[in-house]
Amino acid sequence: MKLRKIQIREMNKKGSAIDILVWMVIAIGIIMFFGLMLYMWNKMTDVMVNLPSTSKVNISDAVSKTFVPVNTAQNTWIPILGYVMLFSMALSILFSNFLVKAHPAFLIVYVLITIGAIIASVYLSNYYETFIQNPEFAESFQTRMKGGTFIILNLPYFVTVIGLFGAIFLLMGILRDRGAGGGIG
Amino acid sequence: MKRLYILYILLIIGILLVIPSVSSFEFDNTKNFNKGNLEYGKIEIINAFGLGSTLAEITLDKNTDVCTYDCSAEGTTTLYIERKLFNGLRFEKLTNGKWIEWNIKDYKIYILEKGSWVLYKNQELNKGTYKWKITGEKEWYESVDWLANLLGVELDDWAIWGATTRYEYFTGEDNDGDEVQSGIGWFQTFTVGEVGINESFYIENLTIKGGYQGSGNTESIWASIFATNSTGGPTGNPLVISYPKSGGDFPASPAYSLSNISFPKTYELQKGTQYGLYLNCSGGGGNGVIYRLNSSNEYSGGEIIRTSGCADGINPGCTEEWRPTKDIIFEIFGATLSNVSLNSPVDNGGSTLSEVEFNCSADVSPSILSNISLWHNNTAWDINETNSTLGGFNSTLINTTFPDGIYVWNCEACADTGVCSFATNNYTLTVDGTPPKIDLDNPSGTYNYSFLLGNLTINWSVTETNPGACWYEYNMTNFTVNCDDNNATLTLGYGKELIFWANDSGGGVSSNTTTWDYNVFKFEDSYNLNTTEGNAETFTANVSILNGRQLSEIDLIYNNTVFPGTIDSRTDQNYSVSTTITIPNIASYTNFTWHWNYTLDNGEKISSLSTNQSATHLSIDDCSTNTYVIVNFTLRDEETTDIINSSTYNSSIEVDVDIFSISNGEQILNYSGEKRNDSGQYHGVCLSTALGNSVYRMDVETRYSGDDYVSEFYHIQNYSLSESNMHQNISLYGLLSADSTEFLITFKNSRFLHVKGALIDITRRYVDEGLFRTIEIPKTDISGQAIGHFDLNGVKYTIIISKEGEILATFDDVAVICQDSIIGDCDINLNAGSTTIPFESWNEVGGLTYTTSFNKTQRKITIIFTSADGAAKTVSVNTTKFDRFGNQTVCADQLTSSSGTLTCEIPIGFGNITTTSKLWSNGKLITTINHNFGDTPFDNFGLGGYVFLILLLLSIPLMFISSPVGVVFGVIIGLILGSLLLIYEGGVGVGAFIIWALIAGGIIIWKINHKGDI
Repeated sequence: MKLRKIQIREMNKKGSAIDILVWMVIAIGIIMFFGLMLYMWNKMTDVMVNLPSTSKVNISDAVSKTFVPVNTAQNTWIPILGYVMLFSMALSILFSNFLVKAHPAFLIVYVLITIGAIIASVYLSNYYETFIQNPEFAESFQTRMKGGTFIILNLPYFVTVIGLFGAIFLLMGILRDRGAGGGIG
Repeated sequence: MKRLYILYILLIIGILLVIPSVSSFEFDNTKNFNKGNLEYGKIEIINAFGLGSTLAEITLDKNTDVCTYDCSAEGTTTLYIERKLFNGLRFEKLTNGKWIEWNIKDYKIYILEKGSWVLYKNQELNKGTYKWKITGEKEWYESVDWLANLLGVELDDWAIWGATTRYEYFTGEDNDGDEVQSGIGWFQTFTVGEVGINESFYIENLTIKGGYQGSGNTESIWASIFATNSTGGPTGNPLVISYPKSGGDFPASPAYSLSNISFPKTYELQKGTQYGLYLNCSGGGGNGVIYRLNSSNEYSGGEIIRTSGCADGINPGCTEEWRPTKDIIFEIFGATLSNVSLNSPVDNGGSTLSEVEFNCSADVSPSILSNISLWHNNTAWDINETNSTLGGFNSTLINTTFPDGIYVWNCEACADTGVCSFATNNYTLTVDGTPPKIDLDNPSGTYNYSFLLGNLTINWSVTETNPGACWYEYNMTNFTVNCDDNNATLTLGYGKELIFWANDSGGGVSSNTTTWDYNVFKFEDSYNLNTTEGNAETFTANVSILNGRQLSEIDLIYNNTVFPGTIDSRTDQNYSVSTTITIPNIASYTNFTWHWNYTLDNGEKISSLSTNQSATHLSIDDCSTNTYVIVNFTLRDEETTDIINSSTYNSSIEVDVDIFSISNGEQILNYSGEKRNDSGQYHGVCLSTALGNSVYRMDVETRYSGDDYVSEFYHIQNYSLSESNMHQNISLYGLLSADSTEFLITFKNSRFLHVKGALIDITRRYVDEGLFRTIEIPKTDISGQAIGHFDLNGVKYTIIISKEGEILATFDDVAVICQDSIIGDCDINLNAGSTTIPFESWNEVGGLTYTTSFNKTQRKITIIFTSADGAAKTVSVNTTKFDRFGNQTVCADQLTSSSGTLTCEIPIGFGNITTTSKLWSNGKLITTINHNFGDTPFDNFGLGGYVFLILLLLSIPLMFISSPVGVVFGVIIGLILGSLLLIYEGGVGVGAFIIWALIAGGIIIWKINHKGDI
């Protein structure tokens, strides 16, 4: 079977130079959301498990059979869900940069925006670190949301890597288009 | 006959009559000058050419060495015969460097009579001692030598009346009638005298004493010098003003307290201008004021007298009058020629050319320099050439030709006022047109043998009329020698070339070069000056062999015994040779002589210089005589670790120490002994001397026991005995019989063969102290079996098997169980295959075998160690935070034992840090280990990280699915990306990234050039 060239012109070719900014903001939004959600669920579960039961209503038992399994599952999977989303979005940036048809001048704009994103990520990362050092949230964010927290604390580094490789893929896309629809060759 | 008698008588009478006349002749008088401690010395006049009696003694007591107009000399003459004080007195003046006869203005001779100087009238004086004084007048710029004659001898050994600067007089009499009172000054004028064209004068060193009588708080006195107008009144600003005192600090008593008014600086006075000295006093209360005038040295002898005035005390409105009785003299300097300089040639300089250029200069102020003349003594001391056309410059160049020789020269500078002056010192010049001739005989040729820092004789001869300095250059360094010595000893470096230099006084320089070589040249060696019997001594030498030759054989001749050496390495003509010998056993201190024998490829044998090595005899005992402890055993209870009371338990320590040479294995020393009962808890073994650089093998077998204690063994095997680790304190831990269970330990190697002679190091865990201690070290027999004693009451052991310093197996945290304690069937079967720590994990450094482990979850670093020879060592671990300071200690642990375990827990408070652990053994650093307590990608992302890595490796290559190259490129990109996103531990370093980027870039470029398709 003969392999066909990718039909770039028939695909959605709309890429955006601000993808990296969007990723950065969404990343911190997702981690903050999931982290606070875990915090809320853990807090709520603890309180409910410890609610005093009467001879007729065993609240603790009911909570143990309902909230606790959910909470346990959340503690296991929500963090994974968090960084899975972040990695997926990062990959989508790379793929879209590769597939988009862009004018070569676009690469300059992309690089400038990426530099701005790196600078902004430093502040976001620092503020996030200050936030998670609050003892109230420390367990939820530092222990449970470990992967996500790791990404946010190293956000400048991740933005740099994603931005750099995004630029490489963007360049490959530009070269491919110059070769009449070819790839890197 | 009668007439003959009469003739004889007349002749004798004649001689008697002539003798007094002859003795009065003065031609045979001589003088004897003796400086002694006197300022000007003493002159003796002796009769009969110095062989007769002393006729007179004269001493010069005072002399105005430098004087302006009035000059004088005072002295004492003792006459031993009746004579005049002086036969004559004449004068010479220094003119153009020569003394010429001169008549001064006036002179007088005084003699002291009854305390007064009276004019001497050239009369005869009786025998006795006389004080005399000669006075004379001259111009201030003249230097006059006064030459007195006594008894036909001219006294020319004494001082002269030297020229000085110029003075003007300021007569005290001129102030007659001036009133001196409070607030009213006293003014005196003087005029600068005769001067030359454009000439000025200076006034300096004037000191006037002023004072007053009275009290009050506002008194002050001051002095100033003004230029004056025709009427003597001051004009313009004062030239100089001085305030010696201000404020009422003159005490009322004693009256007439004085204070100096000084003009310390030099002030220029203009020709023809009249100047006035103005003294003032202003005082409160209108009290009587007194001035007293004085002017430094020149006023000595005079005094200020009060010619009229007030009674002592406070007399308001009263006037005083004071007058100097002698002229006050201002010292005025003018037309001085100073700093006549001889610029070149330098003093004691030389010239290789016959024509020499002289450069002289002079400073003259304020007059003009008229001419400069060169004086030298080529034929006689005289003016050679005068340069009068200086053109406004203060220096001149004069060229003169000389034959070879040594000359004295000077320059005389003259001002337009006629004042001339020489430079202070004459200079010496050597003219020499022929350079020295050097013959250099030695070193030369090829010498058989020498060595670095050895000696070599240099022989030379220098032929030169005016010899200067000699030196030789060797190894880029100059060494000065005495030209006439003709030989010197050279300290050898690496160089084989020498340049000998010689110069002469004229500046001519010659050189001669010589080269030489050696068949064998030793530039480095090593051996110990002192050793001990039986020690393995290594001798090394680095030598260079003559070009074209090779070293074929090397032998060490030690105590007349030949020991073959080895050629360890060769680089070009440089060889490193060595040999190791065993020092013979001796009965007492012995000096051994040794040297190297080098055999070259042409068969020539060359010997090095003989050298001595001293060897000391060794003896060993239980420290009763010897004092150098090698091992000291202490018996303790295994459970309590307390020292066992030997009297109570009748304990004993039996020791057998064998010391061997490490080179040939021969036994050097042996000691066997037992300590029992009262002294049974200690047993030391000592040597008779320190070991220095010697190293031996030591094996020790120790058995310790006591009542209620089992008998156990402690072996030390292949211990490297040296100076640094001689004193070993070893604790032997005895186990109570009641607590002991005897086990038969059998050890087999990995091929299940019994191992004979292996040490079984049994270490017991002391939980409360957190460490292991060696409690027993038995040695396996031919069947690989040994008896061990264990406490089964909840004690954990670690057993380390070693042989000849090599760890064979380790069994840590062993819970010992007896299969059947009733029948005593307690066996422990160990084999190397079941070791809990693999061999690869063990490291041996400095006689310490150790292994490290690291538990990140428990944040604990564990180090298990054992000494290779079974001797106790103090082992410590010190863990610090890994940062640029490296001084924050995180944890530490220490243990003194032959084996044991060190643990170091990192407190949680330090967070995810990187630590540096340093392992020390007996103060020596063994190793440094870094541990990282940070999270790994797996800690952060778990298995999800790997899922993403797979996703990356699948998706990115698929983007280039149409091209095989693209797929490969995609995989590389995926790996790089995954690594950089920290989803797996990979090469995230900059270097790794760059390499990957280069590879990827290469692929991209290659694909672009070939325009392939995806």
